[in-house]
Amino acid sequence: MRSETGRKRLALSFPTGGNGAAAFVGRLRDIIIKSVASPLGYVINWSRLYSLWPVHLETACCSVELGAAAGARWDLERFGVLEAFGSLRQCDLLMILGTVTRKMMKRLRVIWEQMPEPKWSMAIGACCISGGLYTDSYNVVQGVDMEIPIDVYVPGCPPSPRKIIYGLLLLQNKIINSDVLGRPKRLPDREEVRIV
Amino acid sequence: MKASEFLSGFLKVVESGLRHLVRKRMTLRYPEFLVVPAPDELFGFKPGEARDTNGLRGRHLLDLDRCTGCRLCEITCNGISGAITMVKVEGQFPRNKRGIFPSIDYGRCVFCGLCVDACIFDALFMTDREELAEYDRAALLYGPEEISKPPKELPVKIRAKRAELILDERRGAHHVQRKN
Repeated sequence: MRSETGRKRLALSFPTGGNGAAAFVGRLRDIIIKSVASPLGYVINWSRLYSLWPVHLETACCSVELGAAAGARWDLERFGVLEAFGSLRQCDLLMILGTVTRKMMKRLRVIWEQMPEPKWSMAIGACCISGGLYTDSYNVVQGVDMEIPIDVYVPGCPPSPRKIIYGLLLLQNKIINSDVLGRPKRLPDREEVRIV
Repeated sequence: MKASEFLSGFLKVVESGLRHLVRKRMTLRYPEFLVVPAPDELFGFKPGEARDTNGLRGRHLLDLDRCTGCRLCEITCNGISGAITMVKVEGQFPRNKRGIFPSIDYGRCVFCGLCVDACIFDALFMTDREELAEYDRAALLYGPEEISKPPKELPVKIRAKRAELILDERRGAHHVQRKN
């Protein structure tokens, strides 16, 4: 509800009716989506959920736990999460790990706008979900979902690798229940969460 | 460098590389397997012995019959992160005349366990359930009815089997499934 206000979908900004170049692009986009969505929609989503490239915005100690999750014992690469990325424009998952100050929030929004659609975001740790230990602080953002949309919240201070991997499973269940543009058709229940 | 030195060094490298072929993998396959320290052991505080019991600090478990609504957990949490607020529950509770019980916001909770230490009536415990991620911020707020029930079983396909870590010098550290 509150989080949807910050979502800007550039792919959807073309008008579908009227004349002109923008309307033509909008109509062409609709035709392409319709021709691809029904035969290949499941395959596209399935390939998306096993090649999530994260931007890990590490501002506090939660980044250590992501490092542990990427290590030998928990091994995030089993789920296709490759931590070494080339550019923000090749990434589709924003992992916010740690305290987000008001100065950092501007940079966070720039990072989020640079990532191409479809994109997802995870708020990991109490600090970025609600402020956490920095409740009522003058320079810490009291929840990043006031500024950018968050798909999965992973509580903990810091969350163990087990919690991060479970949050990733939730995100994969959300992606497989989305359409080709990455908009969720429906949210799976907590009892429905499974290995996709 | 002599040729024999070069050859022996080369063979050493090949040997250590080949050894990794027979080593078992270290990775714990999490959604299917999980290391649990001990069965049904809750994190709590023993007032008689003045010590904590072992256990992972995960989701809370509240005993509605023991809780008196003394607000000690809320006062403790106010100095840390302010995750606990007292809410009113409908119904008759002989030990809790006002009927107020803690509700916990897991978006704020830092799992320090001090609320469990502060509870002098042994009403608050912590279970080993760490799977608390949600799609919705509001779903992270757990009321007294929710934390008074033990955590639900995980879905069948990701129900974790219990594993334990084996430290083997020859074959490498690895996880095996526990029998009991």
